[in-house]
Amino acid sequence: MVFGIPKLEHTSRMCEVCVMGKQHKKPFPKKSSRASQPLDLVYSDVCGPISPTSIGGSRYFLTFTDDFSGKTWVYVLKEKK
Amino acid sequence: MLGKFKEFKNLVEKQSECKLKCLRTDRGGEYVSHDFDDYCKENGIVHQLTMPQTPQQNGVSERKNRTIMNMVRYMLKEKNCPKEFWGDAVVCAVYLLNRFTTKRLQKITPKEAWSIKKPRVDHLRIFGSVAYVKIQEERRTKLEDKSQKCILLGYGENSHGYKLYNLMTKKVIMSRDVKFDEEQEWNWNSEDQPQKLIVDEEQIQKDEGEIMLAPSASTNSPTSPSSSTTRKTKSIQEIYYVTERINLDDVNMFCLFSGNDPITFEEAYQEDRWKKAMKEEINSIIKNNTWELTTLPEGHNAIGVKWIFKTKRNAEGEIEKT
Repeated sequence: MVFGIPKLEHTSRMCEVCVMGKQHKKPFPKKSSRASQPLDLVYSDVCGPISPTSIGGSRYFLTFTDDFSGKTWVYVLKEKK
Repeated sequence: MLGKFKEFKNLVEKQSECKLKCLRTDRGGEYVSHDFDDYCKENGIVHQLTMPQTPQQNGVSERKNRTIMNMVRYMLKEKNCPKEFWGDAVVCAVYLLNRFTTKRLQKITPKEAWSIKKPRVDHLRIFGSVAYVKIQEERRTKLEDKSQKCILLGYGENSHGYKLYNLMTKKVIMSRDVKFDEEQEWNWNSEDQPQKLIVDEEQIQKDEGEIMLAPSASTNSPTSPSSSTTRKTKSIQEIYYVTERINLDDVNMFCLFSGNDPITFEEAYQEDRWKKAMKEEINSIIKNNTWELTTLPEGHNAIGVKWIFKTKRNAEGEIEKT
């Protein structure tokens, strides 16, 4: 222990300087539950551009993942749009 | 992109007899267009968007992408396939992932969780393997080759068969009459005959070299030039530097030492021609003053020397020298 330091009073007031200098990304919660039946929730994302282009001339691939089964569908794409 | 989403939605809804209720995506331009938004609204799909710069909220997708890309890199590398084949590798990787067990499910595969049926896996082959595909009778004359050489690129999604790249026509074909040589790899650079893995041959040579340099405890009795170093397992080789066992399962390695040449000094000493060869070798060493006899200085160890027995043949295969 250190002696001689005056007892600091805790304040709940937001300090602008602290926020400016110290703010960070909030933690992400662990996923709590899975979907109870197929197609209740589907995740999708596009990956790319990938170089070199594939033999079919594609640069991206698009995935759909079903939360219930974990099954994934994939489509290769030439263009993102 | 929207076209593909419609295609996906129709397919999965029909197959599962469930309705697509919720779609989680990032805010990529392709997902936030008016058309996409309108389509979701029309079909009553809740479109959950992640916050900007927060891919963590679409973790399942992002992790899946990583898994797929890791597999793709590996699949292309394993058989030295050109990178242009990534598209087929991606589709093949997903096909495989749907048939593998996963942490999220208890003892079943995603495909089984989706369609109740247990998937078959006995048809799976190594991506990029050399495949011999039967040519249909009507496509060839009696004396023409019955098969053509192709490369395995994947599997039929809705049909029992393989997706293959025809090396001659450079086209992707489908077939179920295929024989595979999973050991073989196509040499994409020179595009001539496929070769057995080059890496392995180099590794074997390297292994042999290291064994030659390894000092053997006894000076004159020759030790076996063979070793049980299995291919691709460097760590075991490092641990067991020199061992006596020949791995008979490994045909390639075994062939290296099956040329009727004796391996040990005792074996060679039984045969007159080897005795003669050894005498000649000793005489030439004496004649050339290669070595002189000396006493070992204190605190030094002698380096081992061993006999290597090798039959040298001329171009016709006749024995020239032993």
